[in-house]
Amino acid sequence: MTGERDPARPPGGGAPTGAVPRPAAPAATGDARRPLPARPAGLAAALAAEAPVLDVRNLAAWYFTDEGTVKAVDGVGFKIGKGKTLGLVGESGCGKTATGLAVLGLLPPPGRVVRGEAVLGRRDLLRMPEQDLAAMRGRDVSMIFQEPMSALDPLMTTGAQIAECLEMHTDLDRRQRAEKAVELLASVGVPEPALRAKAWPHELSGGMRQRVVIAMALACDPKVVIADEPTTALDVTVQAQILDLIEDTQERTGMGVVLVTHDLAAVAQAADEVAVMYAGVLVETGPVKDVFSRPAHPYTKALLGSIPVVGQADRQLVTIPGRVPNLARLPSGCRFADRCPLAEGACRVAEPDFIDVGAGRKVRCILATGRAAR
Amino acid sequence: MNGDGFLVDARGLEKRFAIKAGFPRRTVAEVRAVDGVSFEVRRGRTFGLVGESGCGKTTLARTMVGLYRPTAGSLFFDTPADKVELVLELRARIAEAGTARGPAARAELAGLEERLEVLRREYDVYSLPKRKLAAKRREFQLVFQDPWGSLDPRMTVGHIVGEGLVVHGIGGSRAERADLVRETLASCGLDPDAIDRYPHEFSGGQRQRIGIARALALRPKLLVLDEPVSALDVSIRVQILDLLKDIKDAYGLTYVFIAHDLAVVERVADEVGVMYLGKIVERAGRADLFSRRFHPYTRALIDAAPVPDPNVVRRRAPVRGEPPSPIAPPPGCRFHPRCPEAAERCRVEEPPLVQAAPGHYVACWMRPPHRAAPGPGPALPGGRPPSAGATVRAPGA
Repeated sequence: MTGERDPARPPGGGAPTGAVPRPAAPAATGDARRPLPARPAGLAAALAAEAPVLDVRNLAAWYFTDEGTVKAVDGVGFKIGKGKTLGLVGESGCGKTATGLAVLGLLPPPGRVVRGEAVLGRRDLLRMPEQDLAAMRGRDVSMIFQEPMSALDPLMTTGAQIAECLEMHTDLDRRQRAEKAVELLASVGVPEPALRAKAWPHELSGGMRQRVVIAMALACDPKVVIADEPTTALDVTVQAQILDLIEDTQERTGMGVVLVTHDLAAVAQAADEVAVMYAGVLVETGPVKDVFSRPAHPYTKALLGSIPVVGQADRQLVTIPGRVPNLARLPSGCRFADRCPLAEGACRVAEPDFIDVGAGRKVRCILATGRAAR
Repeated sequence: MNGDGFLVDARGLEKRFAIKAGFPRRTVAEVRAVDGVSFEVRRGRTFGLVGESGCGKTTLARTMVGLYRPTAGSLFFDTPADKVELVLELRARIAEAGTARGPAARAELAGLEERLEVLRREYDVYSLPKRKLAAKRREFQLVFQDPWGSLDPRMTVGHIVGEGLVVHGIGGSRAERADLVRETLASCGLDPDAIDRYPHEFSGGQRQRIGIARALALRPKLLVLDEPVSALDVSIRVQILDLLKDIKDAYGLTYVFIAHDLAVVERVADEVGVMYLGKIVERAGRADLFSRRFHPYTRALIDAAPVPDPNVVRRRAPVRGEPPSPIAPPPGCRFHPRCPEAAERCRVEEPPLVQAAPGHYVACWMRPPHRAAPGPGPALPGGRPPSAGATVRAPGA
C-alpha cells in the first residue's frame, strides 16, 4: 500500500459510481503516473483520493449478432483510485470481460461500444482516434489476459516480446530494451531472467508465462492495468504468488488495477472495492469489507454463500437455481428475479435503479434499497 | 489391513509415458505421471484425490477406468477381501522366495507365481481377459472435467447417453433403451425430452449433467469424477455437487473424486489423498487430514486455499516456485526444492508413505514416525496433537 493511501479517505472517493458524470479532476494530467512531487501530506492524500486514475461512466457495449442484440455490457460505471484495486466479479457471460475489452477498445466484432465514457487522465479512451489509443495501450493502460499461452506470441522469445512493447512506447535503444526486459522479468520473480528472456513461451510453465504476461503489462509503468482472470488458469500455490506480485507492483508504482474475475476469494484478498456484475449490469458496488460482511443484493449474498471454504465443510452451501438469462432476450424488470429467492411482483415490473445507499455503496434491488430507505 | 468392504483396491499403480524424439524415433525420456500409487475405497464412500496440475491425478483417473494401460500395478475392483489378502500373501511369499536359491526354491517360486497369475486373471482389472474386462468396464465409469470437450457435438443427447447401453447390450430394444436414457436424464435433473437435442443447445452446467447421465446410464458401481465442477460457475457448482450427492444415495454409488479445490474435496470426501508429482504424499480420513495436515505440501495447499473473506489476513504465498517436471523428478523427497522444512536427508533419500497415526499415512522425513509432529498451525483451529502412531508400512509403499 502506498504511503499516500489513507484508509480513512472520504467515503466514495475511490468508489465505483454509476452514470453520474464528473469533471475530470485536476491532478490527473498526462504526467500523473509518475510519483507525485512532495506536497503537504494531507493535500497529496486528498488529491489522490479525489482523482480516479480511471473513471468509467455508463458504459454500454453490445454485440450485434444475427440472433439479435446481445447487451453484454449495459450501463456500467466505476472508478479506480491511484494504487487501488477494483474487483469486477461475475459469472461467465455476465459481461465482465467485455467491459475490460471495451475500455481498451479491443472489443471484437460484432461487438461495439454504444455509449459511455472511460476517462483516463483527462482523455476519454472511447472517443479517441485508434492511433492515439494504440499509443496509450501498454503505456497508460494495459491488460493481463487470462490464458497466458494465447496472449504470448509463440514465435517470439519472451525477452523479444517485452522489448517490442518497450520499442513502441519508449526511446530506449535495442540494447537498453533487452536489458530492461531482463530487469522486468527479474522484477516479476522469474528465476534466471537473462536465460528466460531467451526462452520461447512453450518452454515455460503456466505460472512463468503468467509472470511474463504481467512483465509485459507492467513494462511501461501503466496507470491502470486491467487484469482479466490473471490467476484462474493457475494452481493455488501459484495463484497466491501472482496476487502478491500484483500487490507489490502497485505499492511500487501506484497503478490502479481492475481485477476481472469470477473468484470472490481473489477479490477478498486483493481488492479494495468490489463491483458485482450480473447479466450486463452492476448490481452491487462498495468497499470489499463492507460488501462481503453485509451483502445487500440477493445475488451477492447467494454468490458468497455458494463458495465452499476449507474448514467450513459443515456450512450448508447456497444453491442458486436456474442460470444466467440470455443477454439477447432479457426479462423485463430485475434481471435476477427469476433466480432470486426473495423476488416479488414488483421486481418483475421495471428494472431497479442503481441506488446509492451511503458509505460508498450502491445496490440495484428494490427490496434492499427499499429497506434501507425505510 | 483388512480388505473387507473395499470396492476399489489399487496397488502400486504406475503409468509412464515415453517421450520420443529423433530419427529413428526412440525413447529419450519418460514422464512418470503416476509413480506407485496405492489406495482403497470402501463401498459407498468417496475417496477424494487432490493435487496441483501435473501431479498425475487425471492420468490416475484414466488409468483406473482402463483408458490407459498401466505400466505396473494392479487394480482389484469389487474383489472379495480374502482374495485380495491371498494375492498380497502370495506377493510377499514370492518376494521372499525370490532371494532363495536352489531348484526346490525355484519350483516353489514358479508355483507361487502361477497361483498369483490365476488370481490376477480372475480379479485384477488389468489382467482380466478381454471379454471379462469388457463386461467389468460397465461397473466403473468416468466423468470428465470439460463439459465442452467431452461431448460429441454431432451426436444427440440420447445417442451420447445411450451409446454405452448399446455397447454393453443393455436394454432389449431401442424403445427400452430410450426409456432407460429418459429415466437417467430425469435423475440427473434434465428434461427427458432433451434426448433429441444436441450438446450445443445446453449450458455448461447442463452439459455436465449430460456427462454424468452418460456415466450413470450403465448403472455402474463406481464413478471416477475428474474435476467434475471446476469448469463451472460458482452458482452452478453447488447444483452439480447436490446432484452428485443425490445420485450417490439413490444408486448406491462409490466415488473417486478428483479435484484441485480442497474446499470442494473437504465437502464430498470421506477419505482424502494428496498427490504430488505422481505420488500420494499424505492419505487419511477427511477430518484427520484437514486438522493434522502432516505433510508440508498439504499444509501449503491448505494455506494457499483462497478464503472469500477480506477480514482474513492473507498469508504471503506459503511455498515458492512451482512443481518440478515429472520427467526428471528431484532426488530424495520430490517436494524438497519447495519445502520450507527440507533437511539434508530430504535431499537424498525418498521418504516412504508410512503410517504416522492410525489410518493416517504420510511420506515425510520430518513427520511421525520419523520425527515428532508439529503443531496444527494457524489456519484450522481444533487440530489435535496426534497420538504416537505405530510404524506400520503403508500398503504398497
